[in-house]
Amino acid sequence: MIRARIVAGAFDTAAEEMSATVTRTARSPIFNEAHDFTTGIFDFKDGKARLVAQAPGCTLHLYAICSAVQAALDVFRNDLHPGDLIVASDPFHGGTHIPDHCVILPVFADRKPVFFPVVRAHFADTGGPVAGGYNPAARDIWQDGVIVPPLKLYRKGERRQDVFDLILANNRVEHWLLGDLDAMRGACLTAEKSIRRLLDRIGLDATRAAIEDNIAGAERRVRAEIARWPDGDYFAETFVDHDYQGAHDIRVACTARIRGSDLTFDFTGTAPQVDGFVNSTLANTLSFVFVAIASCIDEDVPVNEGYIAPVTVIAPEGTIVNPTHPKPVGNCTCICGAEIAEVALLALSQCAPERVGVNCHKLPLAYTSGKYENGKPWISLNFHGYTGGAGAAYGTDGWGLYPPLMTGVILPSIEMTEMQYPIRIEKHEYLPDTAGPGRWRGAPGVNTLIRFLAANITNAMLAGVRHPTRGFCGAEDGPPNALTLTAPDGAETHVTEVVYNHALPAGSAIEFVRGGGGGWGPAIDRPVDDVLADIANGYVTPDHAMTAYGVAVDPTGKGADERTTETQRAAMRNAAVASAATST
Amino acid sequence: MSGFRTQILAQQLAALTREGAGLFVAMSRSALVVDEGQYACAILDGDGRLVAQDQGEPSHLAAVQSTVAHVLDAFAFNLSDGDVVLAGDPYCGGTWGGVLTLVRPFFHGGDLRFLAALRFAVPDLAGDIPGPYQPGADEIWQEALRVTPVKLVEAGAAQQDVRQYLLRNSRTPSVLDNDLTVAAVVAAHVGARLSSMVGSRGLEAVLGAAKDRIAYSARRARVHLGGITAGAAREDEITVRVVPSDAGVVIDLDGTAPAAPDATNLALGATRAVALAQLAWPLIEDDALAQGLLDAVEIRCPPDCLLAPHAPAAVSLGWRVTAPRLAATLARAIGEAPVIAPSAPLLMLFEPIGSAAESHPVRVSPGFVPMPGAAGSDAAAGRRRLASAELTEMAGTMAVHRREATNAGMAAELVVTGAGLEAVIVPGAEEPMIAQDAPLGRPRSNVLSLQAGARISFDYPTAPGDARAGQ
Repeated sequence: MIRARIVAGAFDTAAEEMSATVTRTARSPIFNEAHDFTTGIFDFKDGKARLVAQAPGCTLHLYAICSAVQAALDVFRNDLHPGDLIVASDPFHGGTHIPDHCVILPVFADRKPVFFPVVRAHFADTGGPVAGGYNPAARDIWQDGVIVPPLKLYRKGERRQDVFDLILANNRVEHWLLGDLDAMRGACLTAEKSIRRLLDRIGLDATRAAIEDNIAGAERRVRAEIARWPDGDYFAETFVDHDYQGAHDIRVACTARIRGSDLTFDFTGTAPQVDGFVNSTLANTLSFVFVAIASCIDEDVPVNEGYIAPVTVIAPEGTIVNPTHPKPVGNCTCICGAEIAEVALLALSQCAPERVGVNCHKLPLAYTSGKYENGKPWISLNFHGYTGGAGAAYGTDGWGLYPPLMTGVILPSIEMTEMQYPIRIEKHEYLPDTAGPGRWRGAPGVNTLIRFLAANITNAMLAGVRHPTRGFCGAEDGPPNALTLTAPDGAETHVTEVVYNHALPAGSAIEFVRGGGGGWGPAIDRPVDDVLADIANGYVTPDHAMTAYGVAVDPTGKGADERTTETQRAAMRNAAVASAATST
Repeated sequence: MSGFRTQILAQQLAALTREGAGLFVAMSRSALVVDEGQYACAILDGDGRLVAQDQGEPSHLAAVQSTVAHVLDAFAFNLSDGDVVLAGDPYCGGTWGGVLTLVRPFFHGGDLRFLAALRFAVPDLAGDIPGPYQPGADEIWQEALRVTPVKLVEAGAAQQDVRQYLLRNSRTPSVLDNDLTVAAVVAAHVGARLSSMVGSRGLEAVLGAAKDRIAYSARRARVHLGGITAGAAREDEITVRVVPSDAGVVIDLDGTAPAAPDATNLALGATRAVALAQLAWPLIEDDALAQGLLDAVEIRCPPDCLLAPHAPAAVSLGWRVTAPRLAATLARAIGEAPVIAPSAPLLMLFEPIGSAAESHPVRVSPGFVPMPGAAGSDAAAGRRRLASAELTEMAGTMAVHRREATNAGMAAELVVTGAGLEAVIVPGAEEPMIAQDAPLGRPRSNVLSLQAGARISFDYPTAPGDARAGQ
């Protein structure tokens, strides 16, 4: 057991070293500032690539790595050599959306490939019709971008320059990509050294045995948690606002089926696949289910193959949670990934209410591309606009800036962003009365104003308006998102669903209003002192405190008017009871 | 070896390219190849100089050689027997996206002696809209996958990952897969025939014949181009000055407009093709296309202009929109009639985007632009076949309702018979008129939704000028 923990620690450390290597050596701001990547190490057993260790990274990459590595090894399992390096991003072969590429290095021992350090990262561009890899006009996968099925970038340690050139030629920001690919390879080579040191010290057999212990241990912990939840079928549904192609209120349905320590998520009843790019590949669906599960399990459980072993996912083919080739999937890591995690949590909230929460990922997405003065292109994902909106969980208000599904993604420094792009971030602040009320409230929404010093093209894709982030267990939903493009003369374009390839002159701005997170539990159960603290902090106005929480502020503005509060809360409680009776 | 025998061998090399082209067309599954003539087969010497070439239409005239030059640059000291290299990029010697050149080197005595090249258009290589034309594009990535020189086969070992990369990025993977195989087979066949010639005649004789062909084409070019007098012309964005030189002719494009912010740019490979077709079409018709002729027509152009844009300018409409204008301007400069007529109206028809893993984009233009004084179309049409009404109907998507000569030229009308089709009108000519009850347009897209029963009318006005003027 002790050896198992030492080995687990060694692999975790190796994965974290990989992460640090990418951060310090990558060239694109998406890597080195926003950290939109994840590192992990796999082994290969009985034809299956298994997650052994991962570094804290972008959560939504976590399980998606597994499918991608499996697909790559299915292609090359009999054609691997020391020094090979594989790159892959193929949505319908283990991938999610095209920008998320995996780089995989086989590490050999006893003349066999035994471990696979992997970096999965979001490339700033993927060729195709629009810069940046999110094409809201896409109706097929080729309009999403250039697909990269598993390709060897290096063979036996030697760079395949022709393949390298091919990849770079099909990317608008090859000056970034070149450095990023080197950073990803460097990270894998760093892990290889660490793995070799470990193998030299304790040997392959002992390492493998320790890994089996760790995987079994993680599975035991997850099963123990699931076993605490009552057996039953728990159904929930949520809806995608639209698909950017005319379909609205697209249903995502899920039944969480618990039998002992086995948990099945059955998405039967989910809407058929749609024309627009919100379809979710199977790998993406698995990944977002994993995200939901991960938010329900103690955080000290090591994330490895055992973590997901007790969970089965049924995703009917031809639905938006398992579309058929060549449907577009470019936005799936936002929409409908957000709804997949949300509906899984809504289902679990019926059997494990104190475990669910931190729901949120419906982003007001807008990304921008332009050219530096030297003519080279830049692409900004405008990460600052997506911050905020974390949902509450049992025992805690929604917190922080980035939604938990993007934990590991770091808020880029505003100063660095302004150095790297012709951008000024003029506003980035919480908005009052934008947190979903609840016993524990969601994080407040964030208002961000990004001004562009250079002409650019912006694509904006709004979500979470018709169906904002849901609250749990009787709490309120978060308020909706909003996006506004403002021309230098002040003319405003309010985005209702999508703005496609919108030319913004220098001096234009994008204003993001990220709706706050949903709450947890009835708002009238929130302690009065907590509401008063929110008022003091500027998160809640006195009027909103009265209407949402039933808390009346006394004339000093610092305390509660207890009698009015009691009366108001009693009225609200009665109204809730009456409403529940009506709905039944 | 006598001059007579050398000439015979040289003609055998030329015949071999015709044989290769014929084989390729016979086995290709691409309508762009079979019906539109978008293919070429060439033999080049070990230095990448064009020895002989046969092509179905003139856009390939310069692109094969210039693409091979890029291939040799990319793999200068890394080519071996059994390699097969593929390239298809307007900025690697090509013309527009989705036209691939497959190159196979042949070694003798350890040295690279010849290269066989097959150039062919594929029905789709990703890009925004199915098919090769991207009316909304303003950069190359929107048009097609860029295929920089890459080995498809390395020392006899198939690079399956590279092949899969290409196939995954095509809406017509089975056609592409077939045509890649066919091109490789034909290149191997040409190589085998070359080996046979070398075996029976000796290497020096075959090399001598290749050299002779190049010298012959240079002589013919000097004589023919020597008859061209200096001249200049300007047409809106295109400025042409034709200046005779010792080797042939210099075409100075100084004054031509900068690269356009749309897809009407003409890649340098296509610009060279227009110049060759306009200035040297009798030599091309007379089988004198070789390096000597290519070298005799020198293009000088300002950087990043409409006729030689820099990456990442879009180029997919250049051949339709800008090539006829360049041909006309060149023709005016030298006092002849243009050999490339204004483009014919064209529609690309396809299954609804996203509805099928394997699509079948079809180039729809049921007539041709009549050339005055000629029995049919212009040089740019090459070996294009006019689809019969029966074949059109059998394809199951359209029926020819009317096709006839008119006083003004030619007119045709099609009726859509397939349900739920989509289409895009390709700029470069009078737009086809589409009549249907339902709305045609889609939001945020230039793609049209066609209903069964829709009627599409095409007008083909007779080209200006007289083709005989140049004879």
